[in-house]
Amino acid sequence: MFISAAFMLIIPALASAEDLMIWNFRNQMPKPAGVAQLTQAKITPEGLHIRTEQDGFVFWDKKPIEIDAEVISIRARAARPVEAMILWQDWNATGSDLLQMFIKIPASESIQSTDIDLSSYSQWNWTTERFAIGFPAGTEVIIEEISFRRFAITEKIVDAWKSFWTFDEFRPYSINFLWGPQIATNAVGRAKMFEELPPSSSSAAWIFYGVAIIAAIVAVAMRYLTKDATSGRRNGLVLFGTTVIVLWILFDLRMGLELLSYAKTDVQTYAIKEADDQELRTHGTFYAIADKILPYIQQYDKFALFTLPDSPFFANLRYMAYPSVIVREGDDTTGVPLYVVIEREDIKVNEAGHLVKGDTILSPPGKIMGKVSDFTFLFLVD
Amino acid sequence: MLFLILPLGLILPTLNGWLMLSLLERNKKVLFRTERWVMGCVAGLTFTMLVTFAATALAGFPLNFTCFLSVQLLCLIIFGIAWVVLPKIPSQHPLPAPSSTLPRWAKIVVGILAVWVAVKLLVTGITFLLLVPTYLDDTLDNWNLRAKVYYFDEALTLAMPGEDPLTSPLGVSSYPPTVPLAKTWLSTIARQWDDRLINSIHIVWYLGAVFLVFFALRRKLSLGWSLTGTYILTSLPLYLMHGTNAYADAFVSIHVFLAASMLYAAITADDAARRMSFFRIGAFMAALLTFTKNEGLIVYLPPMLLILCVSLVLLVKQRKLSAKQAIEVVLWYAGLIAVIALPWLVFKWTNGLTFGNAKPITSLGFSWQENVLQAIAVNTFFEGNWLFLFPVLFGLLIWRWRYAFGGAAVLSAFFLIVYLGQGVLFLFTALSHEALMQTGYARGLVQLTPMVVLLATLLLSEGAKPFVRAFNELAGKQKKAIDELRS
Repeated sequence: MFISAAFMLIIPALASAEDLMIWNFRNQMPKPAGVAQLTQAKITPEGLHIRTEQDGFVFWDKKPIEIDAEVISIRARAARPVEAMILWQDWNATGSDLLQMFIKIPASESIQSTDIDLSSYSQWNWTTERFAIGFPAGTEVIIEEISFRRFAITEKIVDAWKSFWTFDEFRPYSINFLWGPQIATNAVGRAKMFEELPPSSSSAAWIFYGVAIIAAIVAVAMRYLTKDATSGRRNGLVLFGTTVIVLWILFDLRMGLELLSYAKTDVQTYAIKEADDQELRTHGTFYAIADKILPYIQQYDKFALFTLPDSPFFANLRYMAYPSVIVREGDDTTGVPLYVVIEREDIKVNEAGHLVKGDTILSPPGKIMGKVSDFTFLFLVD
Repeated sequence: MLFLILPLGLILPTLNGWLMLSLLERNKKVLFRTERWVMGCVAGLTFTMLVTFAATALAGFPLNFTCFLSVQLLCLIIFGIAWVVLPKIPSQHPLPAPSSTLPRWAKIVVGILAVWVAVKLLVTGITFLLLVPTYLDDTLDNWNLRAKVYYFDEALTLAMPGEDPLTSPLGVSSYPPTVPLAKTWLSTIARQWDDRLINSIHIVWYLGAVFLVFFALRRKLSLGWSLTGTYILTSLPLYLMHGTNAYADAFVSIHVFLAASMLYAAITADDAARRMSFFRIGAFMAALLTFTKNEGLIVYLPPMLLILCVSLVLLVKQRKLSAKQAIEVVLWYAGLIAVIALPWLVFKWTNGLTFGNAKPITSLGFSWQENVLQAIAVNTFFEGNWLFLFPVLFGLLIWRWRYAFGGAAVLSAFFLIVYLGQGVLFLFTALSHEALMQTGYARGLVQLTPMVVLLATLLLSEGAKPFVRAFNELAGKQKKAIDELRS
């Protein structure tokens, strides 16, 4: 009864601990304390309009952030993507040295929100005397609103629990390591958990070890504090052993479900899809394209491949096409009858029928025989 | 129809493996009946691929179905004749370690965990190996590519397509060709190249490791502890990834495990005849290590031979082995290693292939490498790769040091020499990027995993004795209380 009553009192108190502070520039609040090197930083009815031909920043002074914010959300619109940064003073900062964190404002015709999770960044200092946003040369952006959020402890616990059960995806590195369960204390951190490598969130293994250590301490305490030492030792051992077993099975369950989620995604995005719609992990629609072009490639003893340097096409097509032998871009293409061009905006067919990159002729005259898109096609030498 | 090719392709290698193991055991059977078949499948496949390699590389036969089949049949005839002709004294199969019947609650737990393990294995194995195309880098650039090149060229081509013919052989072709050859063998039976077929072989090696760990534990421990160790192995996420994807490290791991566990079984055997049987099988497994990956020859074989020598001296001193028997063991190891390693080493030297991990070991330098220690700690303790295997193992090595460096000293010493040796390479040489990028370091642990699970379970069974006793006492007390209440 007493416990229930206590919960009834505590939970609303904890829940109400969430704070939100909004800078709404459409309402002209708050005005920046100043700008440095920016061509323009003007408050308009649409928001704070930034335009600059050189690197610069806009700043607010006198401890402008009033809450212990963990997440900053910037609602903005930009014609081109902006590699901006937020800047602040360190906890022990003296002078004008500022810490910085890069953020990406995407290109969009409408207002988009860019969320920044600062909860796992120990150097984040909400009490900073000066807070600034830096922009590179060429920026044109309208910032409608900046919000600062602090989360209630109950929300943090819920998000930590959800983040524990949030899985990574099958990626090329998954054969070498699996990040395992991570703990993020807000929804923004959770959503971005496996986007950054290494994840900025904390490993849940810390919690496992913490629980095991507490169990060990309690077990030792039971051994020495219980009147009946034999019974205390026995109960302590059972407690510790059971804790380790439960933790192991919980960890196994968490990781097992992650591997099953990889399989589920593979089935949903690849195995049961029609050939044209198949996508696999980090390779996207590669296999759908490969299925279309392989029958042509395999008609010839060798083929030249022109693709982007980081693309998975070289290794995959080399393997898939064999015994048709691949020739790399830059290698001797004499006598190669077929050219495979994949996602290369810089390679075209000139008027004389040659494959060209700028002014460089890449092939003898020929013609496009199979076109997947403007930048992905097969080129057969006459 | 295509999936019948896999069992079909394993029949002859398994029969050959079974015959070889039976011949090595001679008149003292030391392997369990099922264990011999499983081990025969693993070792027979590796050995017959070695003979096929020798037939092609050294005798010049084309690498086609006729060559593969001829080697299998020739081995079968030779080993079959030897098995029939050599005198046999009837010998009973060994008995597993004594074990009490599992209580009902334990059976329920085992049942639930078995279903969970089966679901994980079936879903991931079928999806990753059969339903999606070949995806991972080393599979595309090495294991499957080489197999496909061998299959279409009907030769041990060293230069990979799209690479410089002069420098290409120094890369992936410096790895022993066992895994690619096994895939080529299956493809020659199927008379076509099919990724699903050639990837499916990897699940055989994973299952082999699971069963063989169970049998190795069962030789020493009760059914409950053997199942516990088997569950530990199947619960390890990164090892499951390697079992259900077309990489070669689970394949290496089973050979490392067999060489180490046979040596351990020999040294801890309770009579001389059993000991000699285990030593002969151990010599065969140690020799096969040289034909798995380059690590087999440079990383695993030297410490194994060092431990063997020390153990033989101690066994002779303790009068558990005669000097004559010790010399016989040395001759078995030396002879089998020479016969099995020689064809591959000769081939390497004559073709100028490298001896490092696809890089010459002489080019690595020696100086302290920043951040490696942290990367190692994160991979080992704070990611999802191994659950708590390594904290538990290191804890038990300290807590039960007397047993770890007494009864289980062979396994502990082997693990520590290899682990610390690799650690030195990562911490002080240009191989550091293998730890920083979490590539080579994690693979090294994958290769040790079944052996580590064997060691950890042995230590756990020792360390958990007070816990088990306490648990049984508590359970007994509660049962008594319930009975009293009922009455």
